[in-house]
Amino acid sequence: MAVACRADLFNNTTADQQFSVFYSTGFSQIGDQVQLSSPGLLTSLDTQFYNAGSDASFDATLTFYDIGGPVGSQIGAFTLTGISIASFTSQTVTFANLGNLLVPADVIVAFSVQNVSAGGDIGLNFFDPPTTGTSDASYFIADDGTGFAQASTLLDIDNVYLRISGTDGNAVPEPSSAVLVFVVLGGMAFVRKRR
Amino acid sequence: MRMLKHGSCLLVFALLAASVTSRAQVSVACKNAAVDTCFRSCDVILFDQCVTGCISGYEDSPLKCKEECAGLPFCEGKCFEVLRTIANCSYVTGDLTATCGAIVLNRSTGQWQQTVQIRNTTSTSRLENVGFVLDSLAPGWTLSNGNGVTSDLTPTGNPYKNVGTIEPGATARVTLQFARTGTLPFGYIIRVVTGNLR
Repeated sequence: MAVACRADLFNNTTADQQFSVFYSTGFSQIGDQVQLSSPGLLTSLDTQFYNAGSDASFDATLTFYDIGGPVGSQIGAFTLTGISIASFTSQTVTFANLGNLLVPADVIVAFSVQNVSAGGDIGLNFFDPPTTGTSDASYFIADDGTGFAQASTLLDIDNVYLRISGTDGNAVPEPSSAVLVFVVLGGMAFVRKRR
Repeated sequence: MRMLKHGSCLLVFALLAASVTSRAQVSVACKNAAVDTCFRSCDVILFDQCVTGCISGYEDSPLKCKEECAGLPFCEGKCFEVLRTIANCSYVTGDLTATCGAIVLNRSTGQWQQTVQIRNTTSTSRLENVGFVLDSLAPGWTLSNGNGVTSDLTPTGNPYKNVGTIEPGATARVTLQFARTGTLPFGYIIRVVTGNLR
């Protein structure tokens, strides 16, 4: 039986492109379509926000979606509350308890912010290229209030800071396979007992 | 796959007057209407200058206005009046496409910026003196690297950025820089123009 290892399934945290896109400019959700190194049972996700306003606190919601046109069905959502971020600084935020959420290798990751304190102006930082996994740098995913669509800076840097960790989903035996194993073992034990 | 336009810019395909007939053409009907409007304003006072000015304006050239009017200010005034009217004519769409990138903050410079690409989709027509006007720029945002505000084109008082010449099939890429007050959403209506008037 394969041994499941926790590892980075996607890592785009190395090359800061020095650009950020902001919710206040007209977006309710901002994210990206990424290709993980494999389907995954997710344990944690890091992203990096930037505050172009005064010292602030905010809540953030991470949502995973299937691929669609361009966004499909929601797979899972997680919220962190009371994130503090100083003025004109970047803040890496970890969604630590993803509960082994099973996601496909090709997945949409999106973030929204809520309860931004007065004066705060929150955005997401662009990093590119990823060092684990892949993502098209010509677009990111955003909802401008009319629905999700591909958006672009036209700078070919359109990958959001992300580190996605978890277990290789391909290493986990299928539930039907596990049942079959137990049935065979049980059958063999029965036959031996009868002899 | 839907591409976002809202929140960035909305393109109005209003490609305005070209000054030389060998370039992309303003509709003839529009030019005739501009001259006709000018004619209707002519009365017995300085009638000849008025007619000369209106007719000269059909050529859609400031230089032609000066040549034909031979220094007569009333004539030149009528001629430029026609030019301003022609400048607000709309092309048949298809001469160009414009794509606006998302507005972003350059953290290393502290500057808000947006990349815009304008493509000449014709195969034979050079687009000269291309500029684009940012109509209805959202409150709280100002264009900080523009070339001025409109005075001949209506509506007046809107910021514009000159792009230059775009050859057939070519794409011009421009970086707009903005200053921002507050946290209001971003957006404007882009109006692409050619010719000498702004």
